[in-house]
Amino acid sequence: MKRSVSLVAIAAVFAIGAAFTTKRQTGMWNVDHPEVNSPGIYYATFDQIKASFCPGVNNLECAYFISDRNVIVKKP
Amino acid sequence: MKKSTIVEIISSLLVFLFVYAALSKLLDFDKFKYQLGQSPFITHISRFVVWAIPLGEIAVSIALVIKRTRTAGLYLSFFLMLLFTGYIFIMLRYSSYLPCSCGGILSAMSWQQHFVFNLVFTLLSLLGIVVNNPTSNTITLRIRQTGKKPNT
Repeated sequence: MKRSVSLVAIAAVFAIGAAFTTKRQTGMWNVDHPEVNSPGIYYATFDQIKASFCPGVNNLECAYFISDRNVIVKKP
Repeated sequence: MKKSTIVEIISSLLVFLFVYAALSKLLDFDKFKYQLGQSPFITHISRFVVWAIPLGEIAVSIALVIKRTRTAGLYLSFFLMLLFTGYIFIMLRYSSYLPCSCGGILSAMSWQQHFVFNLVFTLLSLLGIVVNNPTSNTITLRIRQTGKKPNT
């Protein structure tokens, strides 16, 4: 019984570590990705957009994470 | 492989998924809140859902870790995964705008990959329920008590 509890508990500990690690990786995507910092308007269809992030007020500038191709799009 | 080992492995996978998903959402809470507010089907209840989802995932994980509540945890996991998979299916079929409220590396998957991923975990939790079936445990208990297989 002890072993079964610890195996599931270990999975929980690993998950906590993985969440913090990927947080660091994904938290920087809108800052470091060259597409976001380059000027211009990038277009994509709505069904390609999986995640979006609009920093600042009034959603003036948004970064979009595109399915399949992993492209970030900036919209003024 | 022993039934209890299979249930352990399934529970561990589910705990990993739920803890990871819940923490990813809570660590990037503003982004998660914004994306959930954009969802065409749950905009009106997003204030409630934004807390209910990560806290629900943590609660289910705790239920899976404690052996006494593992059966309930497996049923709740199946319900949650069915809900998430159904939501993605509806979004893919009926919505033109598809914001993902998922966290961590899950947001890097395409919608199709995410749907299949959720479907696999839904089936896994169902398998966990079937393997962890209390009826089979009762039969095992009877065998141990009487020393011979019961007539069914």
